[in-house]
Amino acid sequence: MTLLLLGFGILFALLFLGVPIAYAMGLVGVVGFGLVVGWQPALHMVGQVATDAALNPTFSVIPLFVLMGNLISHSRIAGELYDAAYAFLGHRRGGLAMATIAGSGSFAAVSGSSIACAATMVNIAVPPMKKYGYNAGFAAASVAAGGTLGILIPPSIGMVIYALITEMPLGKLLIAGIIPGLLTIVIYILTISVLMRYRPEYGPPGERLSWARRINSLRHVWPVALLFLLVLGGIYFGIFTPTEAAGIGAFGAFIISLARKAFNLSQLFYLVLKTIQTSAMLFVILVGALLFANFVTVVGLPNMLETWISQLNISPTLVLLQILLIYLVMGCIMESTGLVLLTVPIFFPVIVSLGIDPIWFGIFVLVAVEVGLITPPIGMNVFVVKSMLPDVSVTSIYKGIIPFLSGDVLRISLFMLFPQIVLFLPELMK
Amino acid sequence: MKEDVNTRNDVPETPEMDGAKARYHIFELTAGAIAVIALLAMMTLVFADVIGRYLFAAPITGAYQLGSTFMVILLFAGLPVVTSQESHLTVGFTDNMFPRRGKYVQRAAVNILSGLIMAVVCWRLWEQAGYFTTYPEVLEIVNIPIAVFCRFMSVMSGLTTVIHFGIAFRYARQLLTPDGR
Repeated sequence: MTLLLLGFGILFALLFLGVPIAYAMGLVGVVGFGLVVGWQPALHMVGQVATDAALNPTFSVIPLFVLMGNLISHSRIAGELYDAAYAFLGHRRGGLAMATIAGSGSFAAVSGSSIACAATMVNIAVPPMKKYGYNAGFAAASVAAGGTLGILIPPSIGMVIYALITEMPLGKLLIAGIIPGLLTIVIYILTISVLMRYRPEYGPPGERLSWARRINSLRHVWPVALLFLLVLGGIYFGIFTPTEAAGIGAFGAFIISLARKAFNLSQLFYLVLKTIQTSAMLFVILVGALLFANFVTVVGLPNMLETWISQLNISPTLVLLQILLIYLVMGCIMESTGLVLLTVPIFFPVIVSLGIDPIWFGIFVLVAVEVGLITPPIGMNVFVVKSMLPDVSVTSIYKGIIPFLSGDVLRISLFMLFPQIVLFLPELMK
Repeated sequence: MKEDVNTRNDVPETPEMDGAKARYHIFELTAGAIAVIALLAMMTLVFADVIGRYLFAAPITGAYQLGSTFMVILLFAGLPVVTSQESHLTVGFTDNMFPRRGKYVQRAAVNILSGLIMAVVCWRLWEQAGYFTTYPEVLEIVNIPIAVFCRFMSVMSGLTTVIHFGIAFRYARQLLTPDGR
């Protein structure tokens, strides 16, 4: 127990001093493991874990999905997705914010990262909202909230990370994100329309477009829709493995961006190089987290938690609420990938022993992490949006976020009360 | 500023990418080019394999093994690039708590520690290669011994160590120059 506390203490100290998350977790993991089991096995573990992780086929999904997202982001397709959403929703009160949510949701269907999603949408969605006289904080908040869909709607890098660390089937996890993702879009849009009853001045209606123009706006969107259906449909019907689906997705995105003449050869090179850097960075974190997880396991933290929970006789719901709270607090000091990698090895055995479905828990973790991205005092998405909108204050964005957070409370309650929302689709798969 | 997956160096819009070139050193471009080719090759390989299998009933022999090979290359050729760009993920928000000179001390110290950690990784991967030489395992079809992968990973980790020490040295030198630049 002392060793465990010491381990966590040193880990957080290293993180605060600015040591890369991967190295901090790896160092504490190996030294801790060495103190419990012995130095020889601890050192042997380093080479073993790194080799196994590098040759793990599931990891190859990451560079391919990241590449797909990067190619699509740079194809200027996000603007067209927003335009299509605007054509249908823009004339309503708060309609531009609704279009931002729907646009982010559809962009999330080809991109696996929340921050990328928010950063892309900011430039597209905020200027029209400004033009129609939207409340600035509310406008920025709708982008920050919409961005969180990136991690929930497949493809999602967060899900790949969860699958890697828990050895859960990635295909089922990806499919499990679909209904919760759509439900989130609906809930956020409803949240906006409820807000408009009380604060109509926040979101004046935009121009109403004719049906002809609405249909026309869909013209540019079909390649993205097709790509999404191909990737997810392939996984759902068992035609592709997740790696194959990611390969198809990346290749499809490549073709789309070529067709749109989105970049020249040199730009393509740097785009792929960014993808490589992201992948290599995630790989090192994964290795660090696996080493740390081994330490946590040999010290017996999951067992301790299990015993503690059974002694206190806490209900699974209460355990989940506590886990949710931990994510919201930890979300202030850590980014989401590191957070998932650090916490899931600890919580996962407990969750399984409580009889909670591991696929359901994967979605729950991602939702919790995602809400952490927009929760005060430090929400990463809020800061990303803020950094791109210097004239909007953080406080006003947080004010705008509050309605969305109430939407989050509603949707987390729904997921907990009706786990079938999450499990329905994956259970239908073969 | 910290992020979930692809940001610190992520360029949000296409036009900015034109300035990207200036931010890379020639050695980073060399390692990067190897990794870029590996990723594009892997993408094409997976695509061709799926198309071949479903449309022509002719999957590519050894696609899986080739894919693993490309993965090892892209990850470990990418590692020195991530390191030299200083884009490893950190908690980050403590960054601004240090005064400028304090920041140099902190960054130099972090890079020395990081270098030491990667040196251990380099050593252990080399030992791992030794293990796979004694008890040979071969990636089937492409016929590459696992030991070769381990040696490659070890060498690239070693290079990463050197880069960390180099960065630490640069910060230390900045600390010692009078105006701290």
